[in-house]
Amino acid sequence: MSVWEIISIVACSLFVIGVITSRVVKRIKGKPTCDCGCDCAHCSGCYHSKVDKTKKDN
Amino acid sequence: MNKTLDQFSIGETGIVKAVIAEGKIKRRLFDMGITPGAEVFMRKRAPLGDPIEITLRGYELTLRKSEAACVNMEVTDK
Amino acid sequence: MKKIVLAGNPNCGKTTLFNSLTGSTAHVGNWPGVTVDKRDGVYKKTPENVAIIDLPGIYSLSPYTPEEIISRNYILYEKPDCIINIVDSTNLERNLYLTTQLLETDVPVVVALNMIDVVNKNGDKIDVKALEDKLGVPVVAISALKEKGLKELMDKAYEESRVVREGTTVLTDTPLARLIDDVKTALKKQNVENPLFHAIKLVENDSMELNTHKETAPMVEEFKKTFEDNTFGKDFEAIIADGRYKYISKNFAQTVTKKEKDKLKMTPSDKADKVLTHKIWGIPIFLLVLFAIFHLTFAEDFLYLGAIFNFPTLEELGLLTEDGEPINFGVQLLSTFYDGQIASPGIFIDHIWNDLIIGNLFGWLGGLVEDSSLSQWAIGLINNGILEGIAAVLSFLPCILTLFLFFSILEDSGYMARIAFILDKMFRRFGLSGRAFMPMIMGFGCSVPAMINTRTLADDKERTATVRVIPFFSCGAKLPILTAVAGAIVVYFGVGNADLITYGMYLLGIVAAIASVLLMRSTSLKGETPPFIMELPSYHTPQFKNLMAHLWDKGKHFVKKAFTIIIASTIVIWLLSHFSFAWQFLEDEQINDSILADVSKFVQPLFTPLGFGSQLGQYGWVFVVAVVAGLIAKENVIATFATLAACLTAVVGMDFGELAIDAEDGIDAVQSMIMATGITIPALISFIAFNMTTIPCFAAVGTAKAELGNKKSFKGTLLFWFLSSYIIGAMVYTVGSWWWTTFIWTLAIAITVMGIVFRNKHNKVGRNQL
Repeated sequence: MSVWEIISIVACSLFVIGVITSRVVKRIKGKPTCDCGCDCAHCSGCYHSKVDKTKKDN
Repeated sequence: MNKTLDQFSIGETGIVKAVIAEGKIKRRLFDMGITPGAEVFMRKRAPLGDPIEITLRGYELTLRKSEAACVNMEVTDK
Repeated sequence: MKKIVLAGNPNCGKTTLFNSLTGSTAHVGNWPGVTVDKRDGVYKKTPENVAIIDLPGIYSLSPYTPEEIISRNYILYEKPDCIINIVDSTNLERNLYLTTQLLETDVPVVVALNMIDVVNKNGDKIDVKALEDKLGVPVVAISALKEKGLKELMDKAYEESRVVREGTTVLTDTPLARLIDDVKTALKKQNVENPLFHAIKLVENDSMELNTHKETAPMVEEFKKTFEDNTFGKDFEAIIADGRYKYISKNFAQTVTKKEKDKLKMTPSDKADKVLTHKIWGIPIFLLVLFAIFHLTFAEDFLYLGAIFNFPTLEELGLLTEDGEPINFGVQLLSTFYDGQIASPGIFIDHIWNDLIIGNLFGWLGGLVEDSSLSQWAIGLINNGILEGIAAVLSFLPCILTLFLFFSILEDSGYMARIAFILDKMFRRFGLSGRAFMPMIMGFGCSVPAMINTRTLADDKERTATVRVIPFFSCGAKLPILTAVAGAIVVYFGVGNADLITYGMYLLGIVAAIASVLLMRSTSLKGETPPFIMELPSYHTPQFKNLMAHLWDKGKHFVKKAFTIIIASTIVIWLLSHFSFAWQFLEDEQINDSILADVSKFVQPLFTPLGFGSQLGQYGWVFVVAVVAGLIAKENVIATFATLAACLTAVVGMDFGELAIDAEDGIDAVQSMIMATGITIPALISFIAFNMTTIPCFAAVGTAKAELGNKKSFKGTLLFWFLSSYIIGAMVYTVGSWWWTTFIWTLAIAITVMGIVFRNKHNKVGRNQL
């Protein structure tokens, strides 16, 4: 196996794991798992995530 | 002449005398400004004959005939 | 951080102000009830940063619908430091009704006279100073849209938030003033916050208040027994509402000077309304608008000009090479909008995006991978597993955006509220109010916000029924399934017309929704038809800024999804289809030995009655995979097709050239599916119908669960979705395959309807006897 093949396997698996864990984390935190990423305008979930973000900013 | 709001013909104007309804509907009608003394202008009916559209307190409101039947009116102007 | 809350009537511009103050792009529209949940942001131009909270619109502080409760509870219990009461200055009287109630709380209030530019333009005048004196709180004239007066407003609000205010009421002249005062004193002794406000609500018999102040309620009752008003008797609600409006007309009406107007002269809004809600033309115009939207988005043959005038095709003009490729770049450009027929704007954008951008980009990427020194499986993973799936999904972006643009125009112009007005009587037959139309049409965009918007419906049963049928209004993510399968049917079988099949499927969804609502409202969700009392907004030209914000939002959402959950799903599907249970790598041709194949074949028989089950032979399981992948996100259906089609192509030996990505990627994928499985047209249509009406994506299921708020009815909803899609799919397939089965279905439907009618009648008799 070449270096690139190993890299592609690792990248793909990391990606899949990343997407799945981010969803699980969202669900545990009680945020909606809608795919808007919580910054779509009409998703009620925005509210909570935006509060967290602004807190970090300050 | 007195009649209920649903009996108004298009273009008629009247003054609200009383609202004879119960619970949430009454509450909503009051909140939307249908209180005794308010002037109401009958604008139009929907294409299927119901609901109706009225102008009151400077804005447009739509409600069904069944709800308009709860509003007692006095006709002022034809 | 200080909390400043925006409160006001629906559709008075709260969210527009919120966006202007915080730089957000929250969804705004010209109809009452767009915002159904609180939302917050930060304003940074005051001495210290302040949090701005946008609330759903309310007409009064006695809530009527679930989203109004959110607003009321926030104002009363979350201790905001200041309320900015946004008032639509073109409609001062009704808007001030809420103001009189907000003033009764102990929270500092600043009144923002919004849309002052419209008032001035009409030639009217509002005396801000006089209004301020009468109300006893600061008043600032602003225009949220043009961002005028915002700094002054925020400075005033910030100042006010640092002082203590005590509630005041306009009801001091009414006969109830003494009672209110007594109750207030009693509540004060109990250390209740906002005593004046609660005292008045108690006197008003507000049901929420009666429950929270059980000790004080009897005292109020006691007093009420001795009370009698000349005009209203014991109708306390009426006395108070009347008192408020009387005070407003007496004191605030003078602050407005209206320009003398010719009563007969119609405003442009009136003229538009006269046509759009015309007695006879209203409904045909509505149908025409809907048809125009779909036609502009999907029609390959714009206005059917090609069919009428019989234009020559590019091939007949000799502009194509023998392989059917354009001879030069100019012809390629021409082909984006002309090929014997003129493409509608939607299709034109679609061609530009796919032929010139997506096609070339992914073709180039694919070639790069192909030419690298990677081994066969790595190339397969990257090309088939990732690139094809993404390309297939992204290729539908222009279609979705075009469709969405038209719906945004409907929403922003004020026509949407009129459609509810026009259709209310029809909706009532189905046991809904015209208000339910709004969330339904939002469902064409995405089910998630549509389901959340059902909060504006006052009746619980109506809400449940509406939430359940929203997925039947085919959302943007389902659109690729529709167009890809319809396109493949036309290309492969050479029958029909792709855009007609697409319209047909949208219609089927609507019919299914109507039938389901009727069924539910006459069986499990029986109840009175909810009332319909709604404000109709004035028409205005859609704001370019708003339209772009809507589109940007929609596009971002779609692309983000493609690059996260869709890629992850296609990678998993590729892996499962290229490894056997023995964890051995399989070539494309060996796909039938894969884990995916083994598992899906197990489920496959379930779909036999729908036409895409066992009868499709050894490769038929690919449709099962697509359906299941679609439960995660509906875009996955097409992404899965693209990934698996690459393997099937190897099996059936169909040659797409270097890489199977080209202009009509999804369509090609479906074609190779058809070749490999021998699926029939009815089965394909049944497949679309099933996907359209079945359990929606994860996100929508989660939202439905949250909005229904009741475990039992949520489980019922899942079952309902599965059963209805199964029945619809089976019906489409059997009727399409064997015409005489129509009689069996008709009979079955007739028996069901009669059974329900009979049972309902029987029950009614039973009830009457009791």
